Amino acid sequence: MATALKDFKWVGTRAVRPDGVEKVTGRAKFGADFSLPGMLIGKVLRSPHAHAKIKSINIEAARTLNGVKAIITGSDFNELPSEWVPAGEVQINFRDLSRSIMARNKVLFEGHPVAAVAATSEIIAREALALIKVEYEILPHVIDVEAAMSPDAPILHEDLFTAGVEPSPKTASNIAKRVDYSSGNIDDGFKEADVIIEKHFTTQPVHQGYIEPHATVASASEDGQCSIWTSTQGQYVVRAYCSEVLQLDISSIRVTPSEIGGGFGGKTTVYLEPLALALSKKAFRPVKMVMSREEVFRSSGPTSGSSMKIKIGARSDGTITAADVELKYQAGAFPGSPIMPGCMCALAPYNISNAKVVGYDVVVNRPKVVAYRAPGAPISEYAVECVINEIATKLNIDPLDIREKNAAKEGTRALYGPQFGAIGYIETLLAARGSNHYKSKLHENQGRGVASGFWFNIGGESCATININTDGTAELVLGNPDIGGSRASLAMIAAEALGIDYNKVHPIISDTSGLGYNFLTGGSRTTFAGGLAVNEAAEDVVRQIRERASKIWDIPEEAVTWEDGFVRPAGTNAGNFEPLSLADVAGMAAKTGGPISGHAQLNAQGAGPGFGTHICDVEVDEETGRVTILRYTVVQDVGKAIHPSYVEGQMQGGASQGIGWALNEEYIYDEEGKLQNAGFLDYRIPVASDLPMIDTIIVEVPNPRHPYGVKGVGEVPIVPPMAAVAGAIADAIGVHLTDLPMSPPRILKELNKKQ
Amino acid sequence: MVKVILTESLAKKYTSGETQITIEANTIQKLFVNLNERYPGINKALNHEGISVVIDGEIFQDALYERLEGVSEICFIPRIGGG
Repeated sequence: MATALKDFKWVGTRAVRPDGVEKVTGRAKFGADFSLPGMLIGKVLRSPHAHAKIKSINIEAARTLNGVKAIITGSDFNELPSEWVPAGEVQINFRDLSRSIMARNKVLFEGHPVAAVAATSEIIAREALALIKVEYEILPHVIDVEAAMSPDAPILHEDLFTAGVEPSPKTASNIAKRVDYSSGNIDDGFKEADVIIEKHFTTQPVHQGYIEPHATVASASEDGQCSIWTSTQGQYVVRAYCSEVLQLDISSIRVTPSEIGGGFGGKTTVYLEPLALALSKKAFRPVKMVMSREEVFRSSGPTSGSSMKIKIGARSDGTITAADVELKYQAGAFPGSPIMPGCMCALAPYNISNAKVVGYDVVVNRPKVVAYRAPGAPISEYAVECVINEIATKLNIDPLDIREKNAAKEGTRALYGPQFGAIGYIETLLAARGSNHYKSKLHENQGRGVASGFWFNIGGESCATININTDGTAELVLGNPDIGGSRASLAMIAAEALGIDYNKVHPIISDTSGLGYNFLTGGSRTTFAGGLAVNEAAEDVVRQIRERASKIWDIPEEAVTWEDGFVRPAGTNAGNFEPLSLADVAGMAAKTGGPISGHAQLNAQGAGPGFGTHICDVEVDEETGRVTILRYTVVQDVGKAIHPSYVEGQMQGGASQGIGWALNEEYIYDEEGKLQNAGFLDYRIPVASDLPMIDTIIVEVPNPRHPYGVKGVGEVPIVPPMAAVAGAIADAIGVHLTDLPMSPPRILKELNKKQ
Repeated sequence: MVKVILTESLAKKYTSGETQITIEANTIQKLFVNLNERYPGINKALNHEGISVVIDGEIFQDALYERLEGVSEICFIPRIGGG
């Protein structure tokens, strides 16, 4: 595959998005827009307690309420074995997933579902919830990760024993797992250091903050066939999870994804879908369930909060000699925080001979965490990047220079094992240094910070079909919900490969019955892996076009060539025929063998790792502690930007979310473990007026394993912002903050300490 | 012969601390069989929550039947999802 990219007609342009008109005119159907005749409304009864035994649930009064058609509780779900089993691309513990969406004998967080009702109206459903009597025995709870690790902490799961330690523990613990990576000898490395910085950091759980709450409609019929319409990042994953949780044949479930108002990882799992389906299977009527924003906050997964210790040593020339990293991640109520990628990413941008990373996965009485852009990476890399900035300050070295001196490049062995291939980290540092932003001047109370970030990017299973119509237009059938512009990018790849006008390619997102399995939209994989599938499907079309032309001209297939959207005789010996366009050949499809349809199914390998570097300018109001983002630039190696506007949008969106994580976002719990800020008024995500226009610099170091050089974009840009903002604040006020969010009260406290 | 890179914790438990071992195998499947024969139990530890295989620096999410002719280095990493 190509490493030096040729000029393309469509790839790399800013084509008009195919779904734009639908969305700006309000025609696009999102999760809550879907309705069916005879549909019931489903509602969930949630635990008011952070940790309690369920002594009894009495549903009799609710069951006899007029209009109530079905009620489910934990007893309606099969007990599944506690084991990690493959579910498409990922491993899932379905016992935990099932218990997370509907409590069994214990509730483990405030908001944990204990029952669900389907009724003829929302008012009746709510009335029924009020009639369900649950008797609880309240247990001590634990919210904080350090407190959960202490020997006298309340234990969430009596059968949870820490994995990864020797000898295997005999007593239950909230520490689900210990993991470690190391290379060289850190003691020797620290002896070589002229400067050593050791700091403790904390980060708060933050929500993905998608604007569209979870919404689903499920319909089960008497013959066992089930349909689900839902807002999800992966219709095939919803099908697989519902199949496992409800013990149904995969083929009995058909899932149609709606348009999606954001996911960012938060819609890679199921919450309402199995509940709506279980209710529908009892009532044999469609059931619609929509979460309120409050429910989204109380019961759908944020990403982990953390407690981290970072120690890094460097020589006076900036060479890092050793790094010692300890990470403790909250998993929420069930094991499975992103501690592994957190450990693997922590030091990935750097070539460090002596390094050790230890991580802990810890359960607490909060909702189970779920993926959020580059899961685990922003947390650990925030802490490491902050320490690197502080070392640079102490050694009076430019923060980009110290990064370049220690940067990973092709051939560098990552701490987690492999050697990097064609990566563009150093290119992002050089582009940042050369930017107008980095050369610009600052004023009083202003500061500048930089930080870098890494994410793996993945491939995975993808299918695509291209149906060629008789007028030469193409239907492009895709299996991934379009979250970040994949309709456009994949249609551009199809147009490029087929040599036809982009506007003649009509992309549609299939339900689970229209294509083979597609892993979800996530992991920065959709344009990479989907692009490979679309390219192969286009090659299949071209093969068929050549075959049809050979019939029309009555010459051997190998004597027909395909070039710039036309079939031609390979040479004068092959015959003297006028070239035929795809439309010409498609118009004769019925006479030459029937419809022309190209298809591809593959498990994409060869995803290229992503690196980015951000520059942030802030001004700190020393009276109020408010931090204003003055200027922000995202520099990222994307391999090749298929649609630069969408790529820039991903870079800007990731940076915006990271700035919110840095400055404002946090969950506030009371002493009883109840969330106090379950809404956007009190859980403050950045809005347009909080941010400047975020500048972007696209770096393109092509991925040699993709025909168009694609690497993946969406996750890297959320990794650097927290450290970039922290570095800018430190530059402005002379204090290196270590606890997120860096909200006005915290800044004021630091300023007061300084005075 | 293929070089296999192991994490220090796996090496401590299964290979007497050797983080780089060489082993004969023509596919990843055979590599797992041969690894487990030499270091009993290592397969279960590797596969606990799913793994990806890195073949000469390139991550393969599902590599069981990949052929190893011409391959010089293998390592294992947890299966990466994403958000």
